[in-house]
Amino acid sequence: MLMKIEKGTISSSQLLFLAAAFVQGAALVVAFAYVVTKHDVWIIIISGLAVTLPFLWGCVSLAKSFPGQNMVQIMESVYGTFLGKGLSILFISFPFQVISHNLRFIGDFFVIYMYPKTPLVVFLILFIAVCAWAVRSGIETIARIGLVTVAITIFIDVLTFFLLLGEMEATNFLPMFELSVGDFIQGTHIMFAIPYGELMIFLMIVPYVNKIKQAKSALLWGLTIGAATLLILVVRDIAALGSLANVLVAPSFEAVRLIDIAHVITRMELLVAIVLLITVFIKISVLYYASALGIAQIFGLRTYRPLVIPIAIFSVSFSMVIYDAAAEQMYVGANIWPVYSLLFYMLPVMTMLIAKFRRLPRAQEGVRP
Amino acid sequence: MIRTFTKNHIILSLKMIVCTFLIFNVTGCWSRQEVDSISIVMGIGLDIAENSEQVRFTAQVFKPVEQKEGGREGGGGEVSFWNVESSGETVSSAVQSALHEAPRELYFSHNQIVIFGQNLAKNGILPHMDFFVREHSNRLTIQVLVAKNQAGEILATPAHLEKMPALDMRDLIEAQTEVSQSGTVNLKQIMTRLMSTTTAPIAPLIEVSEQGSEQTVRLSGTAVFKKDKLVGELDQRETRGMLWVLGEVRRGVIEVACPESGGKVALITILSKPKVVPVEEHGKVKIIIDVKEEGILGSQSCPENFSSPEKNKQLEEMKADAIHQEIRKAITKAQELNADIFGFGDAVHRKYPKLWKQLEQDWDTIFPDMEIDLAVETIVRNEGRASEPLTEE
Amino acid sequence: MIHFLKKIIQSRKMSKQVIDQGAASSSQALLSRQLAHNVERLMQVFGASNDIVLREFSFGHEGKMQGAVLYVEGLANKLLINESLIKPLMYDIHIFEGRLEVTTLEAVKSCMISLGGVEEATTLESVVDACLSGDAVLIIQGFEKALVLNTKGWEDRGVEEPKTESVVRGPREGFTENLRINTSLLRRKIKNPNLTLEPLKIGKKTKTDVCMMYLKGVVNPRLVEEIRRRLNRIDTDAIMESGYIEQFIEDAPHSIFPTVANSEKPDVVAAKILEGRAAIIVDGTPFVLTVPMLFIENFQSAEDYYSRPYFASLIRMLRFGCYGITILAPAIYVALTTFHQELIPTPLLFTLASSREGVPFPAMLEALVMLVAFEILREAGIRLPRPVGSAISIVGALIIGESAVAAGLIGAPMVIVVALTAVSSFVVPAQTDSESILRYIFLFLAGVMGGFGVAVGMLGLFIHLAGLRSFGAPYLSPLAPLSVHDQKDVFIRAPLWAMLTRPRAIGWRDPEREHFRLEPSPPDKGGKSSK
Repeated sequence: MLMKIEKGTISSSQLLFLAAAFVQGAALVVAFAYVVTKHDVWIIIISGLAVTLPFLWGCVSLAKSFPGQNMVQIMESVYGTFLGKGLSILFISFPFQVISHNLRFIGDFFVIYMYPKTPLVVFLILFIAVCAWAVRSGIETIARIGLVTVAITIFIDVLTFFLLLGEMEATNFLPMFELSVGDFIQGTHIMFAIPYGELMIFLMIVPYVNKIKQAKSALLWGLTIGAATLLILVVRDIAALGSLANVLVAPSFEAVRLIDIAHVITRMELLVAIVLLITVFIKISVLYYASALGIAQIFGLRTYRPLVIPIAIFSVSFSMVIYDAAAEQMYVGANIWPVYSLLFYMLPVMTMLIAKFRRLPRAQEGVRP
Repeated sequence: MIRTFTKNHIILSLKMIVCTFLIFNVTGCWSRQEVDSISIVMGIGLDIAENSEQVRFTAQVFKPVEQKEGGREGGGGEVSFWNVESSGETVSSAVQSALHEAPRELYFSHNQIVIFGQNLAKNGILPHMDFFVREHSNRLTIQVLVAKNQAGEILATPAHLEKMPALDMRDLIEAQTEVSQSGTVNLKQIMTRLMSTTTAPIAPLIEVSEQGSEQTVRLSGTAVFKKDKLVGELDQRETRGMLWVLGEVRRGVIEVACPESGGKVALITILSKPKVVPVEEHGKVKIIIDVKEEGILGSQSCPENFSSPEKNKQLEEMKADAIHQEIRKAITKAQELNADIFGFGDAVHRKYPKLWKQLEQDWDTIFPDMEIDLAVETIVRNEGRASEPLTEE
Repeated sequence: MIHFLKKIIQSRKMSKQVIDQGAASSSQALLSRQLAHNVERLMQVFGASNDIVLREFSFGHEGKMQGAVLYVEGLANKLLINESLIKPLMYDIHIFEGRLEVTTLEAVKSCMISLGGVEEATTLESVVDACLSGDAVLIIQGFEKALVLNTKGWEDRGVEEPKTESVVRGPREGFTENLRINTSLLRRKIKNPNLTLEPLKIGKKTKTDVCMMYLKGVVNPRLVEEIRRRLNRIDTDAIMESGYIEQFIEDAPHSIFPTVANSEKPDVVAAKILEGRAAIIVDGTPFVLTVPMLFIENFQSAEDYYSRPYFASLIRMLRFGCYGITILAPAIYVALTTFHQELIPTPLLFTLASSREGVPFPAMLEALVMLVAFEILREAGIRLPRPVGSAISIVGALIIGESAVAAGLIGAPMVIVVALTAVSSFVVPAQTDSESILRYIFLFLAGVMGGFGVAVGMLGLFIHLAGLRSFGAPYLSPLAPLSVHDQKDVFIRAPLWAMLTRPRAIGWRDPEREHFRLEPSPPDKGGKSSK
């Protein structure tokens, strides 16, 4: 009865890098939090991590207690076919929405900073086309790219960090902890809901890890590496830009623009654009893959491949109408989305509790292949 | 079965190719611009237009000279720049209306300097600053200057070494680190100061000076803003006084009189490090400034020998005194103008965030009468190449 | 329309079957006892070809026995046939007279024929095949079998230095068109009984000898099984070169990247066999295929391993860089000058703007024209006889380099970029075809979308490469998926004594290449180690 749509497997180290790249894809999204926490963003990056680690730990435990099953299948065995499918549709709508938001974000970035006269839709179509290609090639291919992405990202982030040392001022971090408890909670919540918590979607991928035992530590380490990269970024940007970081749309882009070493090593902002492109690519591909796989499973298809193009078309259209302006996205990202997304983050928690309550998986069921 | 597969493939790939071509057709030329279809702006001047409230905008653009025979000609004495002038209600509209005159679109990514005319600066620069932060192609490394009179005039002064006046001025600003007598700022620094509630923005002053028949530009001190309005200026010594506190004196010459005979000793600074510490005392804040300086003896015009430890000590003390005076002058001037050019307010904010909440509102009344303790410590490291002065034995 | 096509294809299939059946019925038949009958049928098969030599003769006691020798002139060694077959049977047989009755085929085979390779054949087909591959066939009256004698000997090119892969240091020998010589060259490198040869004949019409070679115990048996399966699948008329085989067995026929490697040098192929790969040698071509192929193989040259590791590593990295330059340089130039002028250093932008002034074409078209001109020159240089070829390059360099710039048709920087691209493309010769295609794709992307287009193209390229497999090995390994051990032979070439294991990606069985602690070190000064 249990169909295996995806035949490929990935190693736990690939999962680690995939998760790290996924979190790194949020490099620009951190800008949402600047509005709330100003120069103390680095604190919420750490506190957000502290909140997300147990959540993710729980998610992977859930996946481990139902070996070989992804979230859609788990929900079906916990809630029964009818309710399970309904909740699965809710669950799968989450990555779908996140795809559209991220797509819009990357599109807006390129339009604002590099192609002011080109219509947004061109970037959306080209970008989703590449992602669709990756998704069609399967999780193995995406996973292989993950490592290279992480390596390039960390290399470029660290490189620009050192090149910017001359522009940095430690006083930009002072006074520390100048944020109210409310702001702190809101900031932490933003970090949980936007870059970190989205790792929940790896519940769709964890079953394809060849050594399921290492999946938990791989995912948690991936999150930590991703968060560490974000921390490097944020520290670099605040130190280099100071209070300007709070008003700019893309602080990391502007910070790298400051690099000017003897008029030779200068004008390096393309590096940031490349990093952004490849990490967001990984992020969207994973989400995209998860939603395609999930929909295929909900409707009992033999393969998810026919769904790839329709999802692309839907997400491009959705991201076109989702906001009127880029500024709206800042507001939604900081104030609305974190609250709204709790609806989805509730699902794994609820499923876990009900599974515990119903004593699932039962022993005889648990050993299904 | 294999054949149908191939057929579908061909049709699918044909469709995809057609689609991609359509997409590319659509994008075509939107953001495309050949190098020879843009005017590369190297410098911008902003003034208030005569007899109106409009902004007069001057852009210095690079004029490419066609190079024949692989660039063997070209350059030479030819003028390779062109100043486009236009006016408008805002900077953006002025930029747009520049196209009535300039045949190619203005391209700001390589802009090096922005010069504000004095009248415009007196009315406030903030409304015009926004353009440089919002428009994507402006970099935060652009140098900001204030002209003693008209910015357009400065940009029209011919360059002597570089191809264009704007580049000449950029080099001039970079060279200031050797003298440390004008407070150079780039867009990032001035924006940060503008965004701060108390710290006063500064910018180097530039003016046209006539040397015989030749016109050149020269930097002469520092313009001081209150909020975003030009309120006064520091002369060159006061400027250095400010730079000691800001820690931006990289190099500079301090002249002191020879203690025993007539003549001067020039002492060259090679290192300086300030420490600005606010201290809270009974609800009042006091600033303690501690400047450490290190330098060498550059030249002397008197026959005294300073190579003994006592004499060296004497030199050090005289130098400390001179620096002390410079800083005092700057502080007095700043307090006179009631412009916190040193960022004392931000220093207090960093150290006493809670106290700051009360002080912030009244900073304008606190700053002019603020108590500032000053200590200068100097070292004269060596006497250069000669161990003894040249004397007629 | 389609129906019409279908009909044509169907009718073709039918007629093909008829022909094949006819051929089968005539040659599948067994030999008969009657010599005359056999000879008649053979002559029927060969028809009027005049390079078939049929010599009928009598031999034995009082010339009682009747025999015929059949061979193809030019393929078989005539002298050998005369000396070792006809002469013993017609003259030397009399030495045995009275002592030994040579009346059976076995007796002829064991006593009379002084040749190394003698086999028996029973069908007409095998006789014909043997003849055509250069063997002589001896048919004797009264026997249903024929003797196939290995007398192959034809004019051959000797072992020469290969033209495609020249080295400064390393063996200069190259494979030839002769399968036997090629296998012998490999055997001479690997003197190991485990070096296994698996012969095959592929091509319904050409019956080309193909030979798979691998080192038993090192190679993964599943790889051998897979290659065997794919080779046996080939059902085609002719195999003219190893490229034919390559196109029938490769993993990604629609990719622009080759998934089967080839080499003309025995030392390269031997090294690959020793790493756990298998080689496919095809008669008639000096290019030997090796599988599986990894992407990084393009950047590894035999000489890397012969020269010392530091310089080799430097060159290795240079090759990666050159690959990047050759596919991206024109695209990046176009993207920078038409979309991202902000990324060009200011003084350089002045120079570019001045040199572009007056150039009538957009940068993309300029680049395209120059690249096409380069391809034309390259192709002309290859096809033309060598003396003319150099003339072409002079003309090309003069006209395109100098005059086009002087006339103001092309900007001087573009000439530099294209020249750099062209020179870099020769650094990684194995990928020349993919390089040329990618260059145009990237140029196009850069021309319409600038840096975003190039970045998206790179992502696409990476997805494509990461999805490829060559005989089970991921094409991008050991980079993606990452194998830390194999990194010793990717961007840097570690010293040989440090490369302890064979590359993992290929799926070897016997991991150990050598013992560790083989790092050479001078004897201790104390004289302790001198014993």
